[in-house]
Amino acid sequence: MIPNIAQSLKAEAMVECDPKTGQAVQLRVTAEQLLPAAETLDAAGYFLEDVSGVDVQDGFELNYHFDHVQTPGRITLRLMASHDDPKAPSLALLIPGADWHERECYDFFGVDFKGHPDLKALLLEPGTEPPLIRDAKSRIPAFELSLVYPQPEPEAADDEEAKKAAAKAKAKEKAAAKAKEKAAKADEANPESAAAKPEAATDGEQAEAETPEAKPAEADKQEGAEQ
Amino acid sequence: MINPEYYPLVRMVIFLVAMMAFVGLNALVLVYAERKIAGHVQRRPGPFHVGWHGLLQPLADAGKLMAKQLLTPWSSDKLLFWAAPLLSFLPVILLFLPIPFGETLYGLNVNLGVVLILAFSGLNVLALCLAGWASNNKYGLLGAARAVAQSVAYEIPLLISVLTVALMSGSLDLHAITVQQGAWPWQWYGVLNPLAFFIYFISILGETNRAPFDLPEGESELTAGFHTEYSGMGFGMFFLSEYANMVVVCCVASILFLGGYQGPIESGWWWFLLKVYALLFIIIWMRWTFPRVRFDQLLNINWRWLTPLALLNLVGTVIVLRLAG
Amino acid sequence: MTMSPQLSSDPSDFYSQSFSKGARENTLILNMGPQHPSTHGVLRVIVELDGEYIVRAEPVLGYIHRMHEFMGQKKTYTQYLPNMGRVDYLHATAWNWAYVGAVEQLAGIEVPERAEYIRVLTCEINRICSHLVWWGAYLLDLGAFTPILYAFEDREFLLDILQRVTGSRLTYCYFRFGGVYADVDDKFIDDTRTFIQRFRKRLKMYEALVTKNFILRKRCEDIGVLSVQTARKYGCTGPVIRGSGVPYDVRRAVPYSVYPELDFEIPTFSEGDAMARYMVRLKEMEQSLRIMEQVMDRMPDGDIQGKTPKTLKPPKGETYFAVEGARGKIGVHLVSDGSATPYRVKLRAPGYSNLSCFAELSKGTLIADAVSILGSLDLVIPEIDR
Repeated sequence: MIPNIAQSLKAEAMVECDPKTGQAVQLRVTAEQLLPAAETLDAAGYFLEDVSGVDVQDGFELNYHFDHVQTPGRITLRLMASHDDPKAPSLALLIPGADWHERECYDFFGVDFKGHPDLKALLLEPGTEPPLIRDAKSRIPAFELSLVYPQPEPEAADDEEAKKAAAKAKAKEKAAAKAKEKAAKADEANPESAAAKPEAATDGEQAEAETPEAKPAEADKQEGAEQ
Repeated sequence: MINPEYYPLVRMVIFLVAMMAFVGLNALVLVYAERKIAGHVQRRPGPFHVGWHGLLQPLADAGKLMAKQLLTPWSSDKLLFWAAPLLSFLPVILLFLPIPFGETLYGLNVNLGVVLILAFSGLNVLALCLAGWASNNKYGLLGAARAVAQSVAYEIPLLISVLTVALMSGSLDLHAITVQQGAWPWQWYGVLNPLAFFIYFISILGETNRAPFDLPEGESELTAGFHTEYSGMGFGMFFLSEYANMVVVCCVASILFLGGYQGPIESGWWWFLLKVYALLFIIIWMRWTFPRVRFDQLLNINWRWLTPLALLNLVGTVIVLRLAG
Repeated sequence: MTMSPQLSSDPSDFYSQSFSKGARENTLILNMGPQHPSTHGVLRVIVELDGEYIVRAEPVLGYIHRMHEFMGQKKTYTQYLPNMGRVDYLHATAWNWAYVGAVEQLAGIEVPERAEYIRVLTCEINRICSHLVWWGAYLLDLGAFTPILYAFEDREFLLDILQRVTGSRLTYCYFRFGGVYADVDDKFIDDTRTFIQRFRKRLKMYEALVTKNFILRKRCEDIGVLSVQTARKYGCTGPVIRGSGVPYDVRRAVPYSVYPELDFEIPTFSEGDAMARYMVRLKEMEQSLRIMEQVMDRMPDGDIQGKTPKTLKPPKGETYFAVEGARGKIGVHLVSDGSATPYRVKLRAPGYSNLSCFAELSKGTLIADAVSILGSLDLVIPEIDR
């Protein structure tokens, strides 16, 4: 069951999670949506457990894990920061506990938290190359991580896809707009989709076209530049 | 032959030399006692390997301290830095001069012995202050500041309680004070006026920087306080003077409150030493039992409790003496 | 005092440079640590002092940073297991459990019931060890030297007991995916029962000797009062938040293993000061004894190792698993790409969040109180730095 609080959050997408993930609900948020969402959660008595960065093909995914002391159920806000210019809004002024977690992400991934009062190295020697950035080949696409990212069609894993990217992008934008309703619908069908997830994801697949917020052309460039 | 005029001088010199030996030896004994008592308080044997039951351990420690390199921090004031440990140690020897260990066993017979001791013991604070300041270390500085505030504060109840005894005996001569008390415990001022003894005892813990009042070197906050930068015998001097100071204040306590060298059976210096070491044992025991107080609490104990109590006690003693005598 | 020109122009390290003096005049910047008697391990705290009052304090981390999370991406799932004992050397089994639990949750590995009971038993024994060390070290911070030796005497019994099954005394690597490494024998159970008897008496002695001590109470009561709100904002967990009156314990909140079947209480004190945190930990040791007794009474026979594939390759996806360690909520966020190596392991260290509130708690206190607060948060620096 999705906690009421999660439904009131503005997000790109929301899914209820399998208990196997250890989370109750995940929300995909944009940089603008993060602060209001965190504010609502904070006001509702949630606390920030950690900020866990994951380097995926689409960028640095920041997982903000929130939990509640009375009604446990982990709510994860997922925010994607691009590889080129990794930045995210800072929660440090709102939730002082976020301060160190963000500095840790800054150390490990080089993510620039805008509005952080004192963003400097915490655990590493200042000026160290962020150690947790993976090489482009070993990155996995974001949709393998979570259902909040649009899952690819089972047969869509084709080379032509890249050519179709421009055409598809429009459809994706629409999908993004509808994402929330989709997610709501997906709630009932969730266990099935979770089971379908591993099959849906094929190795080596180019996923930049799958992310609605990244413009395909840019993503191509970025991918090329990295390789 | 020596002119009989110089006998007191010769006596003093001999006594001073003897006292230096006594202070050094006594430090060894106390170090051993402290470590053994600590060990047994903490359910372990304490030093055990050097000599029989670790008896030679203090000698080994002393050897280590003397063999260590003396480091002088480059940013320190060299002269004051090394003057401080000497200043802390040397006056302590003088403090032993007027103390009557036995009926005839004393270095200098002055009728203001108490005043002499109190005056010279004040020099120790100067040494701690210099040590902290000259080592140009922030911990040292904080430790020195604490030492000064603490010593000045605790000197007041200490003086007042000594004054109470002086009033009771009508003398400032340590010998006279001893003699005025009898051989039996109920004749001692410590029993007749237990509050003064209690205040004096608490105050000497503060004066000698012993736990739970060891704030100038409070290790968990200030690493080592005023002697952070001292190595080898520089530290050793402070160490010696700390123990010597403890002995002096315990000597004074046993004279003022416990009848000095007099005892129920066969008066003599052994009674004196017994009383001194019993007090020392209590001080050591307290160190290994209590947590350290906080600095403001330390001063609060003094200004809110000890000083007013000591004053009340003084007034009460005067009234009782008036009525009785 | 001669001030060398070198001293003032000496380009100090990065953190000293970025710690500029505040607006107040005549303040002193003091560097405590990384080698300082009361910043256990290698924590460094830069404080700005006004007299002995702290105007501002800033913990500096990273002196024992070993990048465990990077190691996690380079080693296989099994190879990474021993790392967990090194993250928090005082409560190693809980970290074992957090990681093993995350992998089991992701890979869907079943754990036999006996193994679950053994896990609870060793985890609670280890929790008492951890609290004992904290207790001794905290009193050492307050200037009482003796209690730590009493605590270590008791801990020695527990280490001997644990050594029988785990083979090590400090950095345990005892849990395996789907079970534990070795079965417990009768001697283990007997020794543990003897210890429980003994330790109940010792806890009473500790209370009489230390907890009721006037000086100790003066040093702890009303020191570092942490409100519920502040504790939550900083993400404090474990005894720190329970000392603020929130009965939050992962063993009860998100029950795992066989904890739901066990009868134990969550000690909570509402004062929020150092004394409350102290009392929570002392009471927790009593509760751990209760749990240990129940576990030993109920422990079923059977396997200690479930079925696990030879080369462990959890399916693609992510998981988050949390357990209650001695210091609070230990969380592992594990991402798998389907290979034999974790894609990403994020370790949530409870001490990290607990320490982050130190700057706020210590503001305006005396330096001696700050030491007391720092101690009452129960810090294990290797866990914080990871």
